[in-house]
Amino acid sequence: MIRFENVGFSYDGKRQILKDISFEIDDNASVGLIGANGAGKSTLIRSVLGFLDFSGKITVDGTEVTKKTLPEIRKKIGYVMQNSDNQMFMPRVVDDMAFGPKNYGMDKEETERRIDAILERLSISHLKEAYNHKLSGGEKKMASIATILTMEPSILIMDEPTSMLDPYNRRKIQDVIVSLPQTKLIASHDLDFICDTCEKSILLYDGEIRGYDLTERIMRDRDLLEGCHLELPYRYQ
Amino acid sequence: MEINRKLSDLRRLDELSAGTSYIHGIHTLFILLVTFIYIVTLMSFDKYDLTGILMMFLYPVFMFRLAELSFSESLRKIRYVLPFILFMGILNIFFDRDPYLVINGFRLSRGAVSFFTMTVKGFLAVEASYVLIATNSIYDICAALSMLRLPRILISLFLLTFRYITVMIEEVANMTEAYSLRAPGQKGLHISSWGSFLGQLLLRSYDKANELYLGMEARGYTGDLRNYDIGKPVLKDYVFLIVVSALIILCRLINVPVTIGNLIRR
Repeated sequence: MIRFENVGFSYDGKRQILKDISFEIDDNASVGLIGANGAGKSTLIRSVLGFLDFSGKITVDGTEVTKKTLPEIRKKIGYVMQNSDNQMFMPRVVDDMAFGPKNYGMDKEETERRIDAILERLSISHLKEAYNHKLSGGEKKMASIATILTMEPSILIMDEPTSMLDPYNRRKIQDVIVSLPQTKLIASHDLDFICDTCEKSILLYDGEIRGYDLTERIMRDRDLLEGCHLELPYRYQ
Repeated sequence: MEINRKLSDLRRLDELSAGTSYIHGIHTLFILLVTFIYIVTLMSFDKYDLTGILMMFLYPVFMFRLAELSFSESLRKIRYVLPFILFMGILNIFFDRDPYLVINGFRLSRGAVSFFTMTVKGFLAVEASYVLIATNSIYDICAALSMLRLPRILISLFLLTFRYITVMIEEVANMTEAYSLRAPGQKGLHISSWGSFLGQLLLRSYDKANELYLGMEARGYTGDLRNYDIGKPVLKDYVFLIVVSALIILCRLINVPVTIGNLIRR
């Protein structure tokens, strides 16, 4: 479970990027995080991972996010970055997948077992020995998800998982995400994608929560979305 | 383009390190130790001991063979370092003019001998380092350095510098491409754009490097690779260390060309 209690954040002490944010995400729930550019989605995600000095309190599975608990928190959370190039920094897919487990001191056999299992599950076993810089956008995104899953996190946080993907790869990523049992927090501008992957959604606007409800209810509310500089998803237009 | 070539040079090193040869199978810590022993032994040769150093060529020759590396490719990769190696001892030629050898009126100065020796030493040390980085990933090398209890800050500096060089070159490539698209027919970067180009490059590289670091942190990197598992050494690693180190030390103790020469003279 992820719990935010009166969380606030400002880069310069003047303009608040997050304003008194409070919400809860239950175990195994899939929650979309939507909002216009600059609404605070990435900042909110970075707060959970302890990359920012926020005010208020964030707890992950009962553990408060503090400097001391960061290793424990980051072991629980798998963070899929928007730009896969920033996430994939090792030479090959297999090396990148092993990076997390190795950092946590996992032995070679167990790491190898996990890598094979994840690759098979995502149907990308053929990419195991591939060099990262030779992968296509879709392959890179799949591989970046795989690098996170090898750590067996209980929570997945994804920042724009469908950005720069063609419709075919978007569908593939969508199927994979739906099949994952973990608690998920997915930030995206692709509202149709959120409709297909998340039962609930958080609507952010100017650092504030303007709505936290069933995805369908939020996505059908034209006034609410337009008031936050968003448009109805294609399916409801 | 030159920038893209440099980028592919760096990536090629990553590709090489993922090989499957006998040397790739040796534990990183042991290759690191052997490389260290080799370089220290190499540096211990007197600056006029050109014949003694010849046997030290055996190490890179065998390592290149066993690691299935291409010697000509290594020369291409280290071409930027070669001028520095040459520059190291070049002044000796001018300052150390005492004769070392005179054969039929041909006078070889001590400075020339020391210049050759220093050049060979530098070249061999670079080649040995090349073998190390071409057979092990930078993370494995850093983890091995951690096992040797080197200061954490030094290892982080080494690791991140290596990683960020790629980031910076990528950014230069992107920016140069964007610039040339809007400056058709112009060769290179106009002097009036240098300031803003450099400023932007710095800011963009900083942002990207920061993202990369966050990506590492999110997967358990804490600036310490002490827990980073690079496998446990097995018997063949110990055998490799003992045999190769013994051979290196033997090459140091016995001047084979001189010994053979003496035997022939007798």
